[in-house]
Amino acid sequence: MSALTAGSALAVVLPLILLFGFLLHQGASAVNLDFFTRLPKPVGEAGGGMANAIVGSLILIALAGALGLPLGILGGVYLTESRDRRLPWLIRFVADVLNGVPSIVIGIFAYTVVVLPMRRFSALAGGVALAVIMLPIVLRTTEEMMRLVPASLREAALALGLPEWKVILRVVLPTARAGIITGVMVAIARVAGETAPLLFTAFGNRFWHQRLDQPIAALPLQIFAYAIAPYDDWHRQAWAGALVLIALVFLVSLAARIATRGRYSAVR
Amino acid sequence: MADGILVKDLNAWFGTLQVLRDIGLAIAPKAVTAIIGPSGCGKSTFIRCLNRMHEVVPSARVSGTVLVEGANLYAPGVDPVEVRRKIGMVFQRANPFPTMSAFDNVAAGLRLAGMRNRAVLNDAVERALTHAALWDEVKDRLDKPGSSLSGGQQQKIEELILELRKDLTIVIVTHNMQQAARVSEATGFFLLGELVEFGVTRELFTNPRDKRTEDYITGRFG
Repeated sequence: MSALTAGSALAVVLPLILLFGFLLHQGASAVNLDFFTRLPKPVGEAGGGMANAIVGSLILIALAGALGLPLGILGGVYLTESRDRRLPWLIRFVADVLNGVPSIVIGIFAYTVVVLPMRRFSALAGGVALAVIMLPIVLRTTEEMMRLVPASLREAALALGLPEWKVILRVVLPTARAGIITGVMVAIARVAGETAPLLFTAFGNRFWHQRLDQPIAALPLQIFAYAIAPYDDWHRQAWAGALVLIALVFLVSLAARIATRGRYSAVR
Repeated sequence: MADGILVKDLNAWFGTLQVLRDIGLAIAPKAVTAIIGPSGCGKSTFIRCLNRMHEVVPSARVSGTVLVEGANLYAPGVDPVEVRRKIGMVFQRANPFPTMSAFDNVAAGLRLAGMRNRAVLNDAVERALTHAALWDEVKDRLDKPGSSLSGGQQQKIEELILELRKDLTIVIVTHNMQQAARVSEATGFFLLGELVEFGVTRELFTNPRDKRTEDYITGRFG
């Protein structure tokens, strides 16, 4: 039995190891300083890099985070703390449905509400699309993690005469912090690799990003564009882009783990 | 009359389950009153009603009056947060905040009242821990997690209760009848949500008026 469970656990890790190994094999040769510092070269010229796409992805993630995280976390607090039954039930249900909506549909949504009124593709539209994807993940994890905080801690804080908002801010949220940050990281990792919703929102850009209301490059878009192109050099760069994308997600997760370690927290 | 706690017609529910029925009693000021009774008799709910903690549980409800120094805690417009600041509560099981250090746990109440002066806080924490006979144990790890705080020793705590009685009105819930007999002046016996008997501790234990009280203190059930 223990061999079976250990085997299953290993089977979960194996695809990631294989994937990472394969990416290293295919893409490592194209990862160099130029890759991180140069713009893409025009068709036919060798070299160049994806610096604009790396920066673009970071900007898109920051935008999505700035929009999605406060809403998601505050909404999660509401779901945990509300004494009403119906509205939280409805929100939970809608969030779970939203979580299952294909990302291309969310892209169309952002296209309709942001791109069409603004009459142009933009970083902002991409950020909105990614934020909509993050929202249900952050919302539900925040709620679950806050529920794990023992009722006795809430009561201890209330009995000291803390008003409810202070109980949440000073006791419940700090206790659930590590779990919530893990949820946030899962959400960031998820949107970092999203391609479909960016196709007709952020659109992609071969040059440096200028303004938030202009199209912006993103790693997944660039990888997609390079992967379907007929040039070997671009294929190599697409592999390198995939490698960098995974490394980015890996680093973000690692940073979050380290940041949440140490400070005494009950819920993990 | 204005001092102490006067409880009248106190009822409490969890949803449709009534856990306290028409409780009425007068708790003397600057004295220790013990509440005894078997598990589930409503004694915990009763003291939670004394600082408006009962209503913290969803679906919980209270009716009746609790007069503390003449003012009804359940009057409209009374802020339960203010009530809880004045009427403190010590839980049966120690539950320190895991995200705060030992120092911050002890200082939490005082900080909340707006105290920022480090020297005053230091002094209060040392005094509080000394009182609870924990100072020597934790003085070197005040910045460590609060979960390392233990509840302290029973005997020391009883001494502390007797000392605090000089300034405070204390109501304690206990399963331990010897403890109730040792520290309290008055004792109330709860059973199935009702106050069966309330009186001077010595009389209640040596000469109970109610048969059920007698059965309980002689260990016929519990």
